[in-house]
Amino acid sequence: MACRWSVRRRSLLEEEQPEKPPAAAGQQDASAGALGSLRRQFQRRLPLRAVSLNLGAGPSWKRLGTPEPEQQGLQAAARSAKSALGAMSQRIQESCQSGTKWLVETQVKARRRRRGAQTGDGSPPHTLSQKSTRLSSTTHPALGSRERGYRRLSAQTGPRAHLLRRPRRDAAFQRSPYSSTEPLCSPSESDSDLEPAGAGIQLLQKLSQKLDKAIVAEDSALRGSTPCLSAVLGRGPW
Amino acid sequence: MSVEHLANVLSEKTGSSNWVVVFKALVTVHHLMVHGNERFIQHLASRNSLFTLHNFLDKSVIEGYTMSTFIRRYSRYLNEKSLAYRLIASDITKTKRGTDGMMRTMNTKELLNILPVIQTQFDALLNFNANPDELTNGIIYAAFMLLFKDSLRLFAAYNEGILNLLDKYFDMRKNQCKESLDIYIKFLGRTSKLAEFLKVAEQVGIDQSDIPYLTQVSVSLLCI
Repeated sequence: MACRWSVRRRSLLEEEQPEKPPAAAGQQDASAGALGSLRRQFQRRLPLRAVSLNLGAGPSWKRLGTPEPEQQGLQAAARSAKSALGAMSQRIQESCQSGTKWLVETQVKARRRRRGAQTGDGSPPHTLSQKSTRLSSTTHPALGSRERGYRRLSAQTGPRAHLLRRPRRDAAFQRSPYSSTEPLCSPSESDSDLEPAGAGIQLLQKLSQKLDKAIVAEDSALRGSTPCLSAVLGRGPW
Repeated sequence: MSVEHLANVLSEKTGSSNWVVVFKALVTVHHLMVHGNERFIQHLASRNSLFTLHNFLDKSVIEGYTMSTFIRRYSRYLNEKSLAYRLIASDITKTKRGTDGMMRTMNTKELLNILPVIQTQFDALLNFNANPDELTNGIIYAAFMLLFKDSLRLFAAYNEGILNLLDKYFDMRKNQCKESLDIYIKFLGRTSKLAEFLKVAEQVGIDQSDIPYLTQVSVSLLCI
């Protein structure tokens, strides 16, 4: 298949050569020929070319080529997925109480799993970017990005399109954050939410103990002497 | 002397125009509520009206203006204390504490009913709001000491109720969760105000071993 595409591409390129801009002394025949060649060009499927995005650089835009730590990539992907699907997840949680429990339980399970993994082989958790690259490399190991693009185009409209759609759907679902049993937010984020909450509850428990101690100390101090109100209030205009 | 007669005599004294007489009567009532027989507070809780001193003002002496403010606040606290006893059917400052205590073993419905009552009583206590330089005589000092004693026990019960509430939070219905969150947010505010109250207690000479150090409760629980 790859050979067929490269041959076709060569033939397209060859055909394009005579369709360069016409000479200055253009006549009707030349213009008709140019129009015809343009028409023929549009009828054929043209190879995809790189598109330059007319977007200004901003703090939120990052170059894909620049190397970034994988953790930051995971967090950014998780955050974008979370914001995009936030309303839906809220609705699900509101309608089903057990959904909240599931989320808490899943986070607990994820933490336990991570701890087990860390004590075991110490390998880091699979990230979304890792999963997607792994997937693409296993399905098209020999193709470059352009060839993969040709393949996708032909697959969408070709005779075997319906057969290819299901595995593509499955692949897309596997990449979706909802397919994973991992929590929606990254493990570090979920831990960061729960740990201060647990610390807050512990604070309240410690406070309760301190109050009990203070009350017991006060009671024991008073036990020795009964409180004498008249001595405190003194004589007055009763 | 019967409890009813004693309560009537003291109630009559609060009708005086002299701030000293009124303040001493209120302090005596509070003292009996805290150290006396429980029948006294039971009787006060059963009365239809208690102290109507919300307009009290003694203009006869200079300190009358300041002390009248504290009399109004103090009488309101004693009314709330009696009302809380009527609503809860027990003195919350004397209930058993700990993991098997009353506030820790209460169910969700009771918690959501009782915690607002405790909050109201606690607000009235904190509303006494005396500075160290205003505790200039023995009467207001005696009132402050009784309030300090009540504040520790009341807040201890309040705190245990909040712990129980947080424990039950994820098993609650949606409307109960909303109520609980509202109660917890108010609890955070009261904790800060109590810290200021205890600072005043420290400054007027109460033993530091009797004053618990309140660390700031985390607001991160609100993010759950």
